[in-house]
Amino acid sequence: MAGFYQTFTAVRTTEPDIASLAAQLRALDATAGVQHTTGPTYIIKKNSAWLPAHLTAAQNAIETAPVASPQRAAQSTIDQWPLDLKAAFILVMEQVNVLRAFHSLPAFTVQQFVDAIKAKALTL
Amino acid sequence: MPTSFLNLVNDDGSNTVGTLIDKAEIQALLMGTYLTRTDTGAVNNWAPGVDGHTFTAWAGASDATFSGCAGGQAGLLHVVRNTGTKVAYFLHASGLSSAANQYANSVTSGATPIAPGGYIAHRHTGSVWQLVAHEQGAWIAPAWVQAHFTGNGSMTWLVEVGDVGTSRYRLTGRTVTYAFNFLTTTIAGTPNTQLQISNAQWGGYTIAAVIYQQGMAFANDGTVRAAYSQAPASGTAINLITTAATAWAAVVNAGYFAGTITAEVA
Repeated sequence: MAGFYQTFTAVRTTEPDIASLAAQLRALDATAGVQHTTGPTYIIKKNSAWLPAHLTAAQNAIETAPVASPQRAAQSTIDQWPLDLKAAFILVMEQVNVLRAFHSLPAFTVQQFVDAIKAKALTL
Repeated sequence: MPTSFLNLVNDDGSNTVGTLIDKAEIQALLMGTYLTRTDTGAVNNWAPGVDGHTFTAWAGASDATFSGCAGGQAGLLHVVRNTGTKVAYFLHASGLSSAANQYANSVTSGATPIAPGGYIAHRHTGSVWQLVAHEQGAWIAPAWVQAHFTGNGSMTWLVEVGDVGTSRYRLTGRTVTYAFNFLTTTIAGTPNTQLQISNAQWGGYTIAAVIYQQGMAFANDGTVRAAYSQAPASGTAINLITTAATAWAAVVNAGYFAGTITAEVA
């Protein structure tokens, strides 16, 4: 299916966290992909025709996406951990869950554990 | 009394007939011939007017492919410089032109191009035009064709024209350098290990020896994957392969691939 491309010009003067922007755009349309380096120009591609509501929503996503930062980049890195690192942290989590069970606390799920690490990264 | 140069007389070798070489002829002899040409399309047995050592400034309105050049004599030098905005290609040993008009280039598996600002120089051996110097000039961006982008097995790779940020190559000697940047591409079908870029995107050459370009990272399905590009010996495609040799994930408009590979070509 041929894609539909739309060029946007951002008002914002900061660079957005691309992973966050991509996630926001995907929430609007699961086929959305963004082409952007630096500067105000963004090209967004999706597999259906652009309607006025889509244009507004995409422009809003561009303007409101979080600013790029080392903390945001760290979160993306965590999302992309290789298997060996994931294995190490899951092992640690499983040991923590053993201790939590002794105190009648609910076990962490993997997602909760990763989310907590990502939240910590954002505070550093 | 006019000055005469016995060895600069147009005669039959007997020194009894002929005329003195005039100034125009002396100038042509000393300074060569300067031509301007605008040939386009497929040009066989090109006859631009080579007369002694010749410099041709070419500026076609569209690309040209030269399979050979007429007028060669042993020792003659013919330099062609691209002064225009299109690309001129010079075929190697092409049967489209007569044997004595053919080019003998360094690269034999594809044409030797000159883009804007480039030049090519051939010296005739008495048998063929032998390449003696070449500078491509600007990098060449081939026209986009979807069929140039494929996956191995039953995997498909959709790279639309709007997904091409960069796809350019430069030939120097027997080395081709290819730079690419593909954005918002789609991987479908049965995921597999190799995304392939046809040599039609980098001059049409055949790889001479296997080359690996390490240290790349390609974003695929929201994940940055360590990967490398590989040009296999005798291959006609550049392969993009994850370092873990795992299959690329199927994605919709979320495959990003950028890199540069330099390879020896036949």
